[in-house]
Amino acid sequence: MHGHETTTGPTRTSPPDPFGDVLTGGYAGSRTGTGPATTGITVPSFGWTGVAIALHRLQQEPSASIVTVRVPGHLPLVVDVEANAYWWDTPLELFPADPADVEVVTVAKDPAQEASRQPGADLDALLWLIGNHSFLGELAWWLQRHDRYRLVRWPNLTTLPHTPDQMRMTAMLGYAFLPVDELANAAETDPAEARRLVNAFSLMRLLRSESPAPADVAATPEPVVDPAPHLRPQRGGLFRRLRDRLGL
Amino acid sequence: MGAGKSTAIQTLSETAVVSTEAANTDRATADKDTTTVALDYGEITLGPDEKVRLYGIPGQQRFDFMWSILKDRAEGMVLLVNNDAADPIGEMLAFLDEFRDLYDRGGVIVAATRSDVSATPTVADYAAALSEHRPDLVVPVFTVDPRKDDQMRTVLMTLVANIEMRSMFAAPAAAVAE
Amino acid sequence: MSVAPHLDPVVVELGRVALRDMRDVSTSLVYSSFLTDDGFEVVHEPDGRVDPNRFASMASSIQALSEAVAREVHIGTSEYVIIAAAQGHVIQLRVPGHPIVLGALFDDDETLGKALSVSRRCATALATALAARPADAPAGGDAHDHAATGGWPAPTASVTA
Repeated sequence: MHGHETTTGPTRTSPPDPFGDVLTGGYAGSRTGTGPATTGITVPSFGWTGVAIALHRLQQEPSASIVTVRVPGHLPLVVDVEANAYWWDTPLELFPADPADVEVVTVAKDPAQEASRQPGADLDALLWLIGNHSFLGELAWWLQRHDRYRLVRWPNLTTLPHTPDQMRMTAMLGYAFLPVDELANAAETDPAEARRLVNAFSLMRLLRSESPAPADVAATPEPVVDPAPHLRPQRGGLFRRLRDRLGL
Repeated sequence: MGAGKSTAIQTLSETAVVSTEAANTDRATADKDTTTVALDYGEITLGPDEKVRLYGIPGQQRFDFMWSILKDRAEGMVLLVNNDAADPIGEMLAFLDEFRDLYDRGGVIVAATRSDVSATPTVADYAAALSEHRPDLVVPVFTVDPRKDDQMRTVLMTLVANIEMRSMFAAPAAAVAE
Repeated sequence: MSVAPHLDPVVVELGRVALRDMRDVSTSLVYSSFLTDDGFEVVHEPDGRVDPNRFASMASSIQALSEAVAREVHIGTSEYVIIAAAQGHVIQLRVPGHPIVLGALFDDDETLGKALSVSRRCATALATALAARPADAPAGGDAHDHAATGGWPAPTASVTA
């Protein structure tokens, strides 16, 4: 049994969603389960992962629905994917990174309620945080390990808390289609950081992807550890010196 | 004009900025008392033999000779666009045509100021226009308050990252027979 | 002045008079212009030799840079700027008390000293004329009015080296 997805070629269907019944109603709580059989990795649906899954579902299958998220100690978070907006009394600077019990409910919009609702905040900043804090550092279920990803457009980084490594990886994705393992190697970062970044960009709908031909998918479960020399970042480059000078 | 270029240089520079402000007689274009007529100059020192030199040059067409002087010497450019202007996207594209070489080698990012005054165009609007103009490039577009240290640092660092990654990922030039 | 100099017809006309008077005393004067600090042309003489708008913009940049350098090295206010080239020189100086700069191009027949002298007098002449101007003075007027109020002396035969 290989550790990677067994999807075939460029044409694939969505992976099975064992949490469908939970995400459309009821309490996700601490219930865990096995993720798609293709990964062999158990990714609990609690925390922000369940929220990411619910939001992604609505992005893929738009409907007049809103997602309500209840995090202990916070007032409800309401997300309208269609309107690209959210409503939440908790400022994003106080975003709870690892909430234990999260209830995610997707319900049809109530036209009367929607008509009276004030304009919401831009959803991108929230999706950035959710994407970076879901799936426990693994790739989101709807993404494929061997697919290559590239930016459609940059995120508005001045409005998002980010690290220099995230900035560099973003720049890389602006120029080339890269699988996440190669992205991590090129940026010399923890592979989980690259996966979190790609998850966030996927949720923010900033990525396009291309799938390798089946023959190109490596048979080994090990990631590429020695990328082509031209993908190695320049040691001591201006970015690094400027980052050090600015104390970033 | 009026996008906050002089302010941006002042925010980034470690040294007192050399400025060339003159009384602004063109209030119709920008209602401000002064305007840059040559350049603003600031610095960030990286070491005993290395500095990042920052130049703020006027955006008005009548000072395009300053663009010629600097574009050949610059590693990159932050194009500050006043979101409150009449046609910020049109102005952005016009400038990018002027600075084609820098644009081609990834040395441009776009920073929209005064988005608190005018919420549109959005960064997605700018990005869409850029994508249509040059489908092969993904240009960073941010909103920015040029008075804010952290935002201006993000802008500068992104410019440098983008230039470095461009040179890392650019396809080798094909040999051309003359 | 509340109206920008380049938009004030009285300023334009007084400037034209001053430039013509300077031309009358310096045959090596090729081109001259008054411009605003921010690079708009107020008036120029003559037509056809130089792009007046470009000259005004570049001269304003040079003026601002020269003043920035003088401040930076703490040598007081910049008094004038000279660009000396193989076939002539450009002299720039402020009209005292006004956000207006005089830019004058001389060919190499003129000595720098003479060029500077006539330029100074031209700038001073405009300043004097502006100071003497009534608040509601109409535009236009006799070109010789200026000479009668004590600006330039009567033209003399030019002397060439």
